[in-house]
Amino acid sequence: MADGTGLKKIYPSLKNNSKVWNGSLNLPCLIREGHKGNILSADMPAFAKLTVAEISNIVNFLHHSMNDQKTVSFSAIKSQLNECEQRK
Amino acid sequence: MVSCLLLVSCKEEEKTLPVLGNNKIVDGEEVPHFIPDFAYLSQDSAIITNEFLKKHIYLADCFFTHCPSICPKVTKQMLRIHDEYKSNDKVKLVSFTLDPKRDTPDRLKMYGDNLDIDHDKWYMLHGDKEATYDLCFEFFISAMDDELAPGGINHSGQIVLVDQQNHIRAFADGTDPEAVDDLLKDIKILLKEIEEKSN
Repeated sequence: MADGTGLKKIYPSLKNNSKVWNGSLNLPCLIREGHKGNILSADMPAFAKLTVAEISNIVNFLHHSMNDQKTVSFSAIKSQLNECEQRK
Repeated sequence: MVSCLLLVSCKEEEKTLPVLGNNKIVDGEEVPHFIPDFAYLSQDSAIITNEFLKKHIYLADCFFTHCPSICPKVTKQMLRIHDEYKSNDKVKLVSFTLDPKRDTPDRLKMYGDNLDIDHDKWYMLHGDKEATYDLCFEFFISAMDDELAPGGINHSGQIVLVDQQNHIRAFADGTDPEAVDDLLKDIKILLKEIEEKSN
């Protein structure tokens, strides 16, 4: 949903969801590569075509509108994306 | 005294809901618009017909579970109505899938479980695709295959209120929570009408 509250178990909530914000998730990679493992629509599709700048914008939008007002630098996003690239 | 009389005469008349839609011709006679007979499989693989639904009033929408665009918003509003009338058996909800190939009763059951719904209140219905497109049109909902649309199906997101005589009495844009506020008021008016008729 537009306010990040999700829809029951169909779309997990982004707002106040500790799983998203406790630092254990690599958000930039999650956005680019998607996520499988949950049942049904809770799977997240990959957005492989997004550029680093676009992913950076999304991550910062999420932090500012749904969490801690933290600003994540472009270079930090880039290195997080490199991390998951190397894991492949 | 005069002001008292004025107050009485100015009192707003009780609102009744109109019967919506263009009249139809049946056996040479003009009759008000009505929802034609249908029989669909529910998420519990039970056959749901509008004859069965006649004991209730119901809210209808057309959707599919892989729909990435308007459906989640509409479903959220359907869920709102579901939750508000959870304990009132007079009100049912039906959602017709526009994608029966992927939305099997099993999948619809799982989708309903993930929404935490009462499966005896909200029926997620599976049937022939073309027939469903035509039926949705009877509910004033347009649906068509469209490669360019998100999810491959272009459709509108109305939630439609149907009475016990198969007539559409109100509808709202299901993507607009404020429009659904009004629809919730309309449900109350229709329930009152039924109650008054049964007395």
